[in-house]
Amino acid sequence: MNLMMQQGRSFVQRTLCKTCAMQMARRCLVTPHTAQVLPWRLNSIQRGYHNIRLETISEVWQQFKKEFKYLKRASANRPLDPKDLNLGLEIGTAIFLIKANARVHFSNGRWYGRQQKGEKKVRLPAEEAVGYTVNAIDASGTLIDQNGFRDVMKLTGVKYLNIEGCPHIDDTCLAHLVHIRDSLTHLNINKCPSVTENGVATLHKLRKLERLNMSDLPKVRYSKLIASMLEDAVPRLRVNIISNLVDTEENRAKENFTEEDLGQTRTESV
Amino acid sequence: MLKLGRCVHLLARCTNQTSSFARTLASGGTDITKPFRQIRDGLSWTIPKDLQNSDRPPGEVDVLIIGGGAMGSSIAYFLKAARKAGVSVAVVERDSGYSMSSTVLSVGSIRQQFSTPENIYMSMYSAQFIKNVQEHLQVEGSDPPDLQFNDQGYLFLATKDKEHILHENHIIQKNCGAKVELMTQNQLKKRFPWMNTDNVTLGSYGLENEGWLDPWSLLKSFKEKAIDLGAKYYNAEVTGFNVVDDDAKPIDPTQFAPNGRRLNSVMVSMINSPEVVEVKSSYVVLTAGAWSGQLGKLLGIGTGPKEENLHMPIPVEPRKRYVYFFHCPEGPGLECPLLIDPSGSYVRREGFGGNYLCGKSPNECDEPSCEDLNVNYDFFDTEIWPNLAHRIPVMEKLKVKSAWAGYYDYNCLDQNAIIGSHPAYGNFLMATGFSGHGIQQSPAVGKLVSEKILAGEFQTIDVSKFGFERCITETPVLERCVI
Repeated sequence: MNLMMQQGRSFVQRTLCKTCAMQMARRCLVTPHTAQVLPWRLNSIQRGYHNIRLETISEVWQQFKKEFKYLKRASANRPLDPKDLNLGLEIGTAIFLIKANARVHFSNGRWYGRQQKGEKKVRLPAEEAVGYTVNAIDASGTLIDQNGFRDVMKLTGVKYLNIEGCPHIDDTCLAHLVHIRDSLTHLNINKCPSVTENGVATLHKLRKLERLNMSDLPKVRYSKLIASMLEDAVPRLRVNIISNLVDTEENRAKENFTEEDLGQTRTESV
Repeated sequence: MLKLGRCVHLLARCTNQTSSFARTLASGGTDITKPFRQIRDGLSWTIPKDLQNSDRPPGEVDVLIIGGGAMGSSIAYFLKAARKAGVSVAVVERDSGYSMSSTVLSVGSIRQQFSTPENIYMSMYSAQFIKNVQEHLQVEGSDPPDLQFNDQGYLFLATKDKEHILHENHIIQKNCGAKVELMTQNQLKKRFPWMNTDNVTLGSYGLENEGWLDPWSLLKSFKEKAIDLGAKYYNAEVTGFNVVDDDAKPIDPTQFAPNGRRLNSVMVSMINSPEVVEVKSSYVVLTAGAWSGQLGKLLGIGTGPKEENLHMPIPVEPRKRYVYFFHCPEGPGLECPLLIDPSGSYVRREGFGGNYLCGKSPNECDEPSCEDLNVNYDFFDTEIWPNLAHRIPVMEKLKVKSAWAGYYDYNCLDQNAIIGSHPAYGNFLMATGFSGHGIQQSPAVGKLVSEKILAGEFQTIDVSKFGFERCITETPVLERCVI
């Protein structure tokens, strides 16, 4: 740089773009006696504005896909709409869950939400469900993460919770379950990829838990040890956990509880 | 003709400069964030390129942080996250292996059960930060940080005479929004059948956001993210300060207004070398943990005149605390919270193999000496084990596997933090004296000190109660549950 200054040549100086502060090049002239930088022949790029960078198409496409995935997750976990909450907390939360592609069961005996996996979303007929409480939630395969979960945990009286296969359910969500510890009896966390053993270890706070499904949790180490410790800690708990060796469809169907079990236990308690 | 030649010359230089970059891009899946990282480093356009990656700190820096533990790294991270290229941050840490740092030797627990609202808010903020640590501290291209946060809760036990303290604290905690529940003796007996509830009448159990984590991964995540954002860490020691009092005017010391005197530069001496670098900085933040009192003396805090508020030293000194790791095969298991006995001993589960960690703060008169970090195993046999065996009868049979000792940065005045600037020096900030609850407040303190530097005031939580002024007037802000 000093040599250039002495010779009074023009050279390319590295500077920062004014809009996005990216490094770029600007051509300028330095005279030896002034040692000041004078602008010389500036066009729009040389004046210091952003220029289009050469990026491969795959990089752009991957960035776009990441942003889109983040956007889908953010839209599934928006705050509850105040209009829906006018009808009551239960209805408002149920509408939120149905928009996030889950199914909700009210104490009037009906399930609302998508009928089968793959169907498009349906609306909740709010007039039918006013005055009833949410008994069961089937949020398997949805994109609910800890922010949406916190809104769901404001409900009391949820007995059955199915969050099988949700990619964003992690240890903080399982710690949030402590708010429904007085009513939760059936919990299904099969195949949740973000749950670790520290999260499963907090499930001892759910004192009324009767059935727990925790098969196929890839990040949980010593899962059978924790399952047996949970059975010691929580009275009336039965844990269903499938080992890797015996992993066939029929075994799964026999071991895991379904909604028919829910129907049976309800009539038994009544 | 001449212009054409110059254009060709320019094009050639451009392609030469960008061609290697384009080549790396074309090979696919590479580091396209490298140019962005270069501009995040605020120092890259003030010091020459060949000196940028040296071990020697630069001659000028915006914020110099003394001490690179959890507090210093957290402040460096928050400063850089708020202003990417606009602030140059240098962290000076003399112990590159962190062998005596309180951070890595701590038990790493976090609780909201305090009696001062500011402490409760700081812990709540930190718990929120720790739960969302993947978003905040993930460095692109590396594994996401895993802090191993166990959300198990604290259980404070109280006898009949101390019951009212727990009740009053509970009201304060509920008002601040902490999720804590009180349990009577019968409820405790039902819930924790392995516990002996003879003389215990009340228990305070944390439901959420309380537990323990791995302090070493927290420190590592803060440090790596701060370095990724452009902060620089130097393995050196601070040995002196230079003060400028050209503008100093006499002021009324009771008003605690700065009198115009400022810290100009800091003498940083390199490890294993006689070299001493003078680093000019706008702000100096003291987060040296247990050694903050000593460093304050270098600046004259404690040996100066009363008219300039320099007569009171920083009341932080190291105190040694022991932690014992033992194995008890028939112990409480999964539901063991961090149990705090009325006698002061604490015990918590570690892992899933029947191992536990325990410790106790000794009485004032029995404080061990802080010359080294050797462990006294008799302390466990005489002070801790009888209490443990009384409270949890199965723990009569246990085997101590190992133990270690660490320093508390103990605030002799009131065992609470000192956060804020010194009244005599306008640009000297302190964040020290946490006395055992530093890890759980480190994200919040990082955010608050960065706000104080960048905006001039605390915006998230008002911690002016914890300023240095209370040390000068000797009005302690006492905390009623101290471990």
